[in-house]
Amino acid sequence: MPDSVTRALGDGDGEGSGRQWKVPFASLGRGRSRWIVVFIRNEMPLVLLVVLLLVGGLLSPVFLTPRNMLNILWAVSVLGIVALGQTMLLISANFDMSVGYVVGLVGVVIILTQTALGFGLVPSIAAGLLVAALFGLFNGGLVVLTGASPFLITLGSGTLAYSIALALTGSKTLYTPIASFTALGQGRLVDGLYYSTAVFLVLALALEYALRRTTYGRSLFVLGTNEVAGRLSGLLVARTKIMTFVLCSLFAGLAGLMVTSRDGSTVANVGVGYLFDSIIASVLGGTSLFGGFGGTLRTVVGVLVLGVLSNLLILMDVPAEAQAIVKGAVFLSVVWADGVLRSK
Amino acid sequence: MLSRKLLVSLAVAVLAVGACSSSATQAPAASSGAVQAKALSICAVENVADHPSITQIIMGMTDEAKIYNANVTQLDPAGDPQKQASMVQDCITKKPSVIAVNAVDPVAIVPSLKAAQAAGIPVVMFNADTNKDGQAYTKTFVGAQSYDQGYAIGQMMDQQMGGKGNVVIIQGNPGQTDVINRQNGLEAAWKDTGASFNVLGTQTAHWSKDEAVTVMTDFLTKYPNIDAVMAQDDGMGLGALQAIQAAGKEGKIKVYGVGGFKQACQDIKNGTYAGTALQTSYMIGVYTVRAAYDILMNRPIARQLLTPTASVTKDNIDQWIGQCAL
Amino acid sequence: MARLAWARSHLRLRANVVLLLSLLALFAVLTGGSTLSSENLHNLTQQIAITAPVVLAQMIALLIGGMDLSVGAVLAMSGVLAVGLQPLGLWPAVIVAVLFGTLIGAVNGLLVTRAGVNAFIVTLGTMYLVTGALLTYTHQQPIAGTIPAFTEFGGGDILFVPTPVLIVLVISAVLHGFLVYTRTGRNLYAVGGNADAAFVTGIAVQNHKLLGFIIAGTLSGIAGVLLASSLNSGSVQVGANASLTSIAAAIIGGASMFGGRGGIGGALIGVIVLGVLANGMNAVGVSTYYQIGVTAVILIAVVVLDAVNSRVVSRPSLSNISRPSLRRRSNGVLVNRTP
Repeated sequence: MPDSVTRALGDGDGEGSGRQWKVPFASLGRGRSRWIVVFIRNEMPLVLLVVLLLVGGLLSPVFLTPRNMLNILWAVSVLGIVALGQTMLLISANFDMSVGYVVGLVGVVIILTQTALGFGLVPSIAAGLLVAALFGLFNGGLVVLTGASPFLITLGSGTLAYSIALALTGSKTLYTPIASFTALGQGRLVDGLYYSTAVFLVLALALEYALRRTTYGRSLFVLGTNEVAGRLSGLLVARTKIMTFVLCSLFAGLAGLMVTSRDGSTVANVGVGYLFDSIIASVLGGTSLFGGFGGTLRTVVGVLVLGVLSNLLILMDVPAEAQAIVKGAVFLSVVWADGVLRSK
Repeated sequence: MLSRKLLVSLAVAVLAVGACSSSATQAPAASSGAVQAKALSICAVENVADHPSITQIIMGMTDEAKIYNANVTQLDPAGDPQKQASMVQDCITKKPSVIAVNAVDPVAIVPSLKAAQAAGIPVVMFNADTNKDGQAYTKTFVGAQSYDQGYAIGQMMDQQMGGKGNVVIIQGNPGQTDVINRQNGLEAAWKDTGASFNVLGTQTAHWSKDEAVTVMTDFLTKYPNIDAVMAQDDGMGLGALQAIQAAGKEGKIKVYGVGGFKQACQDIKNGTYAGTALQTSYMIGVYTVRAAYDILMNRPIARQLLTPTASVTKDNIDQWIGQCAL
Repeated sequence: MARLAWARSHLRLRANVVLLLSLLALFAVLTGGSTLSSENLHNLTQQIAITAPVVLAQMIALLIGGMDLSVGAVLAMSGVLAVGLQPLGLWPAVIVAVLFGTLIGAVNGLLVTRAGVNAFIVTLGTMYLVTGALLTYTHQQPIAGTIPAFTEFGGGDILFVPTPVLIVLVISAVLHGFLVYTRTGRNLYAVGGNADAAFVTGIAVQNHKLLGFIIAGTLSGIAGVLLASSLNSGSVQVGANASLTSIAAAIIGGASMFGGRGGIGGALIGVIVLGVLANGMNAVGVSTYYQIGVTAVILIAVVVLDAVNSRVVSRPSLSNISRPSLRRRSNGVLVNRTP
């Protein structure tokens, strides 16, 4: 085969257009040490996490203590739940840009039904999750019916959710009247292990199992890789897509429940930061933005990387300006390292 | 598929509608002769809309506007200086009696203020003022000085803790005027009272209660002997309190905040929260409308109309608890 | 190939033009014509012109199959540089500011092509870096402009037309000519649409992607200068949402997350629609909460109508059952894809 065609077909790396420049340290990884390089290259996020843990341990004496580790887990568990839903959707080559606002809206609905409608604990939670599911249905339905860009549809529906939440709260903070409500968010299974952390980890494992072993899970990968082929081989594309959108919104709703019960109160914009971070966590963990590759355990790693980074920056007393620089440097060094290793 | 013809005819229709409408609204000017009460219309541009203190301001404005039969339009640029500039521009087009501005960025707002003055529309700054250059184009500033709030808390801390101890500080969004002012006020108070607090660490929680929980938890991990935490608003203060309670250190660490949130005042009453400084945002809204009316009636007006800041601690909580509205 | 892509974008253009005209008519009626007054049109076009370059930048980035999340940070930093360096002279400050954008664009482009990875992570990283540099340089305080002539770029007029409008029109014309009438420009469509196919036909894919990012970065730098000029200050708080809103505006204007689609005209229409909407709602006095809701509904409506429109027009066949899958090309992922 002519050289140009071989290069065009690529060497399985994914970037088939050939490499035109030399990358530093390109001679690493020949011979015996090759398997290490391959391992690191495949599990880059995990390596990053380990490196960060080691660096943190060196820089701060309190970093590697069990208490601190559990705190990090607790701090990221709400974001983690949102990221899990986002990951499922990303694998099927879709986006959900509404998760941040749905988190806020669900919290608002839960507390509002408690105060204004006198709902009890369980009915109010059910109402909140129902709203989340409806949003997922709306998103998925529109995407399937019109074939439009999920990015834009969910951006629109998320903004809509935000305006509804703002109008419902009047920008005020809403407090829950039910004292036992905070037990869920603040309660612990054993000392140090909060319910929210346990929920996050259990869900991550359950979803990972679903992704690898169930038809539904594997169909997500098919959807993300080649939707036409999936449809031709009998996959019910529309139904699967809608289900995944509903799943993602439900997870956002669950996160809303967790954060509201943790604070005992809610504001409309409580979830705004989760949107971007959920995508970052998924991508850092290795899930592809273009679909067809990824996993929820990978997202756990991604979320932990974010949490460890924030925790370290505070423990090291890094001022706000430098924090941004450090984050940027970490992301870019991941890219560079990945580039080095992929040029094998 | 839309034909070119359809497109062109639509465009013509739009322009025709516009031309007709604008000529139709050239209503004759109010006939001079009888003395008429001046109608007050205010175009108010906030800095953000989704914050409880801004809601209070809006409520104050709305309630006071009813008394004056005034028409108030509220616009929100969501913290973007460029959007705020466009909104002020759009306000100028509407030709209200007064434009009220809550500056996102004290420097970036200056060209808009200049334009308003050039168009002959007086401007009232409220809640967040502009800088010295900008003040040449405005009539007055209505607000609570965040510097004074910081100062009040600094004094409170000195009184309650005897001027000594380990303190951590939790701040709002980096770069915002309130953040800078409250910090400066705090430090000035400590200097004036001769306090020698040891600041262990300063971090931002971006005005978020949730983020403050994490920040405080990490502070507690790093520093085993914190005596007090000063949060730049009560939302973050309540978050810090939650972290302290979760770590089982309740009662050992004093929590200070700013703003007078309802929950914080409750906690002051039952002793778990050490103190706050009131931000009477409702009154800011009220005074803004009054100032606008005075400007409309050409009355002299003070350069600054400051709403009171009150230090609220357990000693005087009963006096102030009605004001804790956020 | 580029002709077909351009034609498809042209369709979206039409739907959006109808929407635009309807909005203009609606607001004109609601405000008794004041939105079409010369004063308001002057303000409106100036506001649109200042927000346009960032959307053009994002459109180019999307076109080559990537995205640029650093546009907001570059916007802010360029503005700050244009103001902060004024002691060195007006033109040196402006040129350095624009070149800063070019520099960041080059960094983005080099990292994306060299490492063959995710534009998302790369531009996210540069966004954080630039933000950190911004906060450090300004010590989190805004900087006031010191040279009066500086305000001419963003706030001045040339024969009653706002200067930024003229600047943006010139830039748009140049870019449009580049994209449609030069080989390099047309190659950008090919690179974004299907990088492997483009490579096989002999296009230097890496170089073209790099070029795309450099153009995007430069446009962000120009946007920063225009904005700082209109505000006569370097502000730390601008551009916070710019990446997301520019992606939305570009996609409204015909770009696609998967690359290979879009056009200057479409991007401009996207910006104009959003600008007219905001201006109109301010003029009518729509309350804040409803403004957010209305924008959301319009966004959804535009997207839905557009999707339905393009589906109806093209013959249904195996090749367009679901468009996204056809855009599958092998942009790298962060970790090696196991088959």
